[in-house]
Amino acid sequence: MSTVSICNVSKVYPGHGSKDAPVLALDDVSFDIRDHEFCSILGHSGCGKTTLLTMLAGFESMTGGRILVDGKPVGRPSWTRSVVFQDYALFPWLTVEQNVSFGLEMKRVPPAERGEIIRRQLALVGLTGFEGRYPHQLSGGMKQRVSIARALAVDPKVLLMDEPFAALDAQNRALMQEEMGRILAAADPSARKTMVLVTHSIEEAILLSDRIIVLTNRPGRVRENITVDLPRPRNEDDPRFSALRRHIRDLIHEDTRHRAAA
Amino acid sequence: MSNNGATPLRVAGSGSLHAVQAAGAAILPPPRPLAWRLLVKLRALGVIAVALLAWQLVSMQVLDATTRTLLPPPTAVFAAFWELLSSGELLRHLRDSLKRELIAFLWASLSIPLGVAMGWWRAVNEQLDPIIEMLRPVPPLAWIPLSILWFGIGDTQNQFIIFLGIFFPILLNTISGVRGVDPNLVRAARCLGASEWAILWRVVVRAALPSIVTGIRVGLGVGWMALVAAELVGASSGLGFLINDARTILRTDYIIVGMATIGVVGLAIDRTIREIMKRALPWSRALQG
Repeated sequence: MSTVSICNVSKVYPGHGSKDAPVLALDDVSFDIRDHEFCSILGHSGCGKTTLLTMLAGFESMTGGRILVDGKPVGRPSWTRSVVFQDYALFPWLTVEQNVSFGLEMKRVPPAERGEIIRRQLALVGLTGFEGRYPHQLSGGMKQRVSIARALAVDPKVLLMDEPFAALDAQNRALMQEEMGRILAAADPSARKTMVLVTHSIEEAILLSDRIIVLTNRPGRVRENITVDLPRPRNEDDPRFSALRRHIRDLIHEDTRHRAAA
Repeated sequence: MSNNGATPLRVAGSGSLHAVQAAGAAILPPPRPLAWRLLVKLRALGVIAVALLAWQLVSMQVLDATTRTLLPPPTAVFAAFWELLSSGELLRHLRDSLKRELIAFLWASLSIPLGVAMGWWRAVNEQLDPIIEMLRPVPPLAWIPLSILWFGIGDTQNQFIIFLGIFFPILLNTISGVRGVDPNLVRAARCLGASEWAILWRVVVRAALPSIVTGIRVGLGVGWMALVAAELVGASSGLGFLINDARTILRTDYIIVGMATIGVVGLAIDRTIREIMKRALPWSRALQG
């Protein structure tokens, strides 16, 4: 039961010295994410989409505006908004099991319950049998599965994902996207987390999202707020999928052309 | 043994699926005989052997009786080694030196919490960095005169000099290890609900461990060098004392035995720490390699 409201959020990065002017990274960004919704924030690299996510997580402060989760302004980072990082950020000195257990220990979940939660999360991401491995013994795709299991284990209200599949090779990326789609399709919609995915891949966004926020480049503004109601699991060959993809591609290209002309 | 095991597989496997696996096994060359492997291992000692032989020759044939005192042949050095070993004198000096190194190291490990604090809290660093930066370039040996006046000749003075040698490498490596912690690991811990204390203890210190251990390795090496220098001037036992004492009675063979012991023990300390690091932090080697 968690809604997210982004209200008139802006972010200015101060310049260093007189030559280096301050940069307006996000300009008056507003949108709402409903309970249980999967929302993608889509845009070119450098459009401020990751900045928006770090502010949502509470890692950075915003220059203006408010972000509300369940009506309350977000503050310091908390397990209620756990993050899946692009570079996995697994603790290399902990095994797979210990990595997933970390958040549970921080939450002071009793040891008796931890084992069951870890078992369930690792089964969900398909890593049963790898409990004792260290991160350096895993492939990129497997590391990202651990990272997802770790973030889900603390039972967050909102799951934040920062380009989670971008560092994977093409085949692994497709596999992980498909698997994520499978998890989403299988889960009871009312039991699903509210999820926010930052990505530059149009296909990934359409494959997974209920809502897509298309951001413009520098400064980041909301170009369009799209509700996606294609049935799951989604298929790239579906003509409605292709139509939506073309529409979003035109939006982004138009923005780029506009910029080139100016 | 393994040859016997491989042969039937290769024969039986022809034409079946096993053939593929057997072919894979057959690519590995059969193990060489034991004598050959020993020979290969000994190959690394080639130059040393030649040098020892040349030394022996020069000392016995080229030098006369007087100059031979300055460069005794390896056989004489080995005899002196045996003499010092069987009388227990060498081990006594070695024990005293190692004890000083160990006690100094225990005191110097205070640099680990200090380094963590300096690496993590800006305010701590701001206050302590100027002092550290000023003291650091002063070589431990430059402290010898003052330390003799402070502590007199003996263990405390020696330990102080060694302490200085160990302290700074550990401190600097700890600071850089803490500063080099991947910020995303800290963020990940934060969003999993870790308190500031848990972040410091369970993430920052763990992530900095490889650096800290490297600091300990370097520190013990520097400390070992400082130890010998400190004992040269301010001790009545220890390996440094042994070689300086041997000089006064012109026992070059004892000097060489003492020097060789210092070298071998220094190497052994370094290797031991590296071995411990490999076993205790298997993940860190994987990161570096």
